[in-house]
Amino acid sequence: MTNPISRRSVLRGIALGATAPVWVRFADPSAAAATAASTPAAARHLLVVFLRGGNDPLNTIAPMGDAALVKLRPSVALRDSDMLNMGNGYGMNKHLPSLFEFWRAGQLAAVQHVGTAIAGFSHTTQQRRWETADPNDRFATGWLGRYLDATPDRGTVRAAAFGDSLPLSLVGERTDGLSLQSIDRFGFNDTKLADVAARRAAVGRLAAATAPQGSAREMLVRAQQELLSVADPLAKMRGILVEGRVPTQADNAAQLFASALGTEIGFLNLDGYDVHINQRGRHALLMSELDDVVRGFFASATKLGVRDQSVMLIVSEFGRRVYENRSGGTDHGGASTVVALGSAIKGGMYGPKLDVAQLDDGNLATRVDLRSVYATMLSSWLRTDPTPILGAAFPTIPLFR
Amino acid sequence: MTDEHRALLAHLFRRAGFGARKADLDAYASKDYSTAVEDLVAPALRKQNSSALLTQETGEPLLQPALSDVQKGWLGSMIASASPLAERMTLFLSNHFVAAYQAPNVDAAALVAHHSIIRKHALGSFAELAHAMIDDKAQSCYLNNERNRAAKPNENLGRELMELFMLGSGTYSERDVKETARALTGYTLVTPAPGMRKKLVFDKTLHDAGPKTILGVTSNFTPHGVVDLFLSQPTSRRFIAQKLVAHFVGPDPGGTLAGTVASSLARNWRFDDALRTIFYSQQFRATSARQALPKSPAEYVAGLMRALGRTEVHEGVSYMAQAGQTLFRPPSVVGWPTGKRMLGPGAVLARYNAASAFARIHATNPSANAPSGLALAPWMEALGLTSLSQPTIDALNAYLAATARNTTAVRTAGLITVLASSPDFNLS
Repeated sequence: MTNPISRRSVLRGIALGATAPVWVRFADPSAAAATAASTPAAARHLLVVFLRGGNDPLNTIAPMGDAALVKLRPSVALRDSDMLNMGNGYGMNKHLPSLFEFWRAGQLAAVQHVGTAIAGFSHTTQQRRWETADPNDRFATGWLGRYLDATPDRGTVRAAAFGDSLPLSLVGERTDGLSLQSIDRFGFNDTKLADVAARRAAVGRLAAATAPQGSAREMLVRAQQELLSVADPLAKMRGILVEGRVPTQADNAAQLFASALGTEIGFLNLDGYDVHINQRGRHALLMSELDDVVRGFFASATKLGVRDQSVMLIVSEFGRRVYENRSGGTDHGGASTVVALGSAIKGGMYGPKLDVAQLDDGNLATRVDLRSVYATMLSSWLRTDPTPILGAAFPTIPLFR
Repeated sequence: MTDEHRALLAHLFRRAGFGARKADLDAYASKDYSTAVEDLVAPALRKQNSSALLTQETGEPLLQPALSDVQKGWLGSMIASASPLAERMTLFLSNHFVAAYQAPNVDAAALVAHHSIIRKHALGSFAELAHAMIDDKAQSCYLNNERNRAAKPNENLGRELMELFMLGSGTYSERDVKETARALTGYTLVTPAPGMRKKLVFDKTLHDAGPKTILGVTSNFTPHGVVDLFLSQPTSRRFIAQKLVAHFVGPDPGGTLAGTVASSLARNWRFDDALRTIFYSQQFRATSARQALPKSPAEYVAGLMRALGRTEVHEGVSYMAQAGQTLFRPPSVVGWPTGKRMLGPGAVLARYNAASAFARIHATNPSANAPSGLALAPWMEALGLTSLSQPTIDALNAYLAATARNTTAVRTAGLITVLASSPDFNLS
């Protein structure tokens, strides 16, 4: 399950070193006014970044000078010169300079040994468990979809995921997130035709049809209704350049957070983390891409005035085997490290100390239930009761200031 | 021909291919349903047109194909195929034995080879296909098996072979995965001669020949030995039967259909026999089963182009990608997503834009066999619709009433676009 190039679009157009993008509007000058319409932007925003394939926690944030680790993964392990010294015995991958800035500012929290209550090593199963927050595979909905269902319908696009299809995380019973490639690519291609009004009215009639609950017909009708409600507001946000380039998906997330569409949740997918072979070079590249997303998003969020209202949560379905395989890579492993960043975050290391001497069949043991991380986000940041959403009460982690 | 016969034929051609064209329904108007099923399952002229993917418009074979060329070739094959069920099974199996473009080894040429194997077995034997897949370069390299070595196994292919390709999740242990990975060692890439493409070979000196215990059986399993072991498992035929039934009938058809299909697979592992069981079943033929499944982007775009006689495959590939299905580039080893994750507002928008674009091309430059003008019945027939739901009729009437002052070309394009946006056309 490796596809290292398919999601590069997330990054397309970000210039290395660009820290404060210039937002240039080259089309539709009325749009700025429309964006600043009377509806206020949502109060708090959560951007989830899902690293698909199983990110290696030990090559992201790892103990420094750990000879035991180097012995287990001689070609893969980061040496001290590959790390930025976090000053607490740990080092951060040197390809994560922007994350390191958050760490130094006390705005990055790393929770170690996080996993699902029932362990597994399949991408499908573990991604589903992380997205549904249900180790027993009973929920057909995602944790953020259930958040949308449980809270008032207070926006036009309350949650937006960037990519080819809607991630399970944002699938709810009543409310789903919106899936889009980018704001620029989300628009009807017939807006200049003579019969456009009659076409839209006809689709409106199709969308007004009743359909049996749970049927494919209902699914289609709902999608058409939502399309008609979001198409115009999104069209008004098109045609913006960041530093002279087309905005990335990370920029788009900041744009939506700052818009009048009431966007609370953003969701980005980064692919290619399944590094069974040649991990060293490939993982370095993946870390650089992640760093670009972090830098790009927060730079745009700062420019658009939503930095302090935004938290980023970086997750992955599992970690990797602590010892390397013969292909210079690592196989699917156990617990992963979750990272949260933002002004509201109380920086530090959370969860048990990483210890490669205490392995669970070659893997980092799961000691923190991922539902504790989600419960923390739901209660401390999104200000809602996590218990009905997660199906039970879980201890929260003091990640917030 | 009764309306019910025509409606059942339309259902069959939607599910077993890329839509029901007027010509398809007319051809079987005075024949039994079983004649249509048999012609689909065992086409008289079974054209194994895998080479079409490698052929330029001029007819010259492409020696160094680009991914875009083979994407267009595949879509063209879906649109033009004279064996729609073989074509449909090729798509289904490509979403089962998933490989995706991944430089340098899973390139367009490797994907064409992978695709050709699937196409060859599309109405044949799952067992032969499974054996062929583990020797295939694209399949092996996509899941890193060319790097799987005796001393330190790489589990990627072994795990997916069990979970996604042959057994289904929850039917094996982590130890089985590790042991299967050992059994699959021995493959490597070699360059046959300078300047030639790398090929996948089995080198027994790289294979772990020792005993392995998999699913409770201890033996010196080889790669093909482990495939045979999986094929002998009842869980395997149940897993494949359920997947076929979910695809062709629906996720939860009830009754014993999946069990009957599994019994068919237990006899000979043949897809044609399993598909006969499905298409003759009550669950498949029931009126409640009709237009109950969302079309995939491929079914929608290829079906629309097939109905309108369009050949603009470059545009077709692009609209399919916008709707969430990029040929030869599924997002992960699980394949393209299904259900509402593939039918959200963005996907519906891409479908609408595809319909709008092809309808406009068609209205100004009609293809030979497609209808023209504003009469509804010929357009329903062209799009394989034997009836319309009331909201669709209302939407079409409202559209025509509101556009009385527009030109016929504008209104024809609009009419096709609205019809193609209806649930009647979007559902299979």
